[in-house]
Amino acid sequence: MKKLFMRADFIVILTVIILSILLFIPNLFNNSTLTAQIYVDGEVVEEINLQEVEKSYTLTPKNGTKITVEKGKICFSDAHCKDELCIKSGWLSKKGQTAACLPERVVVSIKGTDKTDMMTY
Amino acid sequence: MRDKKNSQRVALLGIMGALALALSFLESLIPALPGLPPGAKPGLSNIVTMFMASSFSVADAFFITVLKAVFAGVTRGTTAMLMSASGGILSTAAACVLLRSKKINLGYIGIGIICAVCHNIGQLMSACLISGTWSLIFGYGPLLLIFAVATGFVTGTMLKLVLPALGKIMNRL
Repeated sequence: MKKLFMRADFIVILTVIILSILLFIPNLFNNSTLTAQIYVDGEVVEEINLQEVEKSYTLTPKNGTKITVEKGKICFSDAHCKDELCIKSGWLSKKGQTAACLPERVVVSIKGTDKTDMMTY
Repeated sequence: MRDKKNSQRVALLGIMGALALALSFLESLIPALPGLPPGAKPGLSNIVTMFMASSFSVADAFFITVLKAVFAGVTRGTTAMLMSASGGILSTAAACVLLRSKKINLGYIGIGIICAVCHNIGQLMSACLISGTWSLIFGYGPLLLIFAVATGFVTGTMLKLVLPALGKIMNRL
């Protein structure tokens, strides 16, 4: 009959933890640029590198729709539609996130294909 | 006499198969934990395959694994089946080697952890193949490995706890 815990088990645990730390290291260097794209009527009108933003500022790509840009994040700050869904989308700061103002056909999207939605398994 | 042995084996396989399916269904009710990839589960049904590998035969252990994969395929779709099969086959193979070899000086916790790690590696590999994104290894790998240490600890301990009780039943047969 085997025992519940032996010294070799401790080595197994340590090995797995060290392996996971080693696998994590590439993530630290993987700070590829975070670029936000602003689309108006389906065309890119502005590309902003969010990491290089020093001071926050506001853009007005189309009548009344305001977009606020800050270091590392971007959001809709004003719109004159009823539901204001674009504002409710909040800050975008991760690759693949998107907010859209459909009445004005303005879309803000953060470039990057890294984010994969994993299927449940 | 041989007939009796055979029917006992069929009945036990049925009970163990049902137990494995019930445990994997139970797990699917646990909501996705924040910070972990969706689908990360404790792997309680691994206890059944580990028990089969240690007390029955290698073939019976793989039978339970395949049954689990088919069940996942029927209830949750092809992707789930591939995920279940890839992880299950790798971890059952590890369980068979580790539990049946007399030379390996590992306790149940160590074996449970290795099986859980194998399960997650198999699933991660098939997730990479299905989605075509190899960066998943670095994105999810570290978390899955740490998670496997925790779940393997639990499953290994539980296997050790249930083995004496199950052994008594087995002896009475």
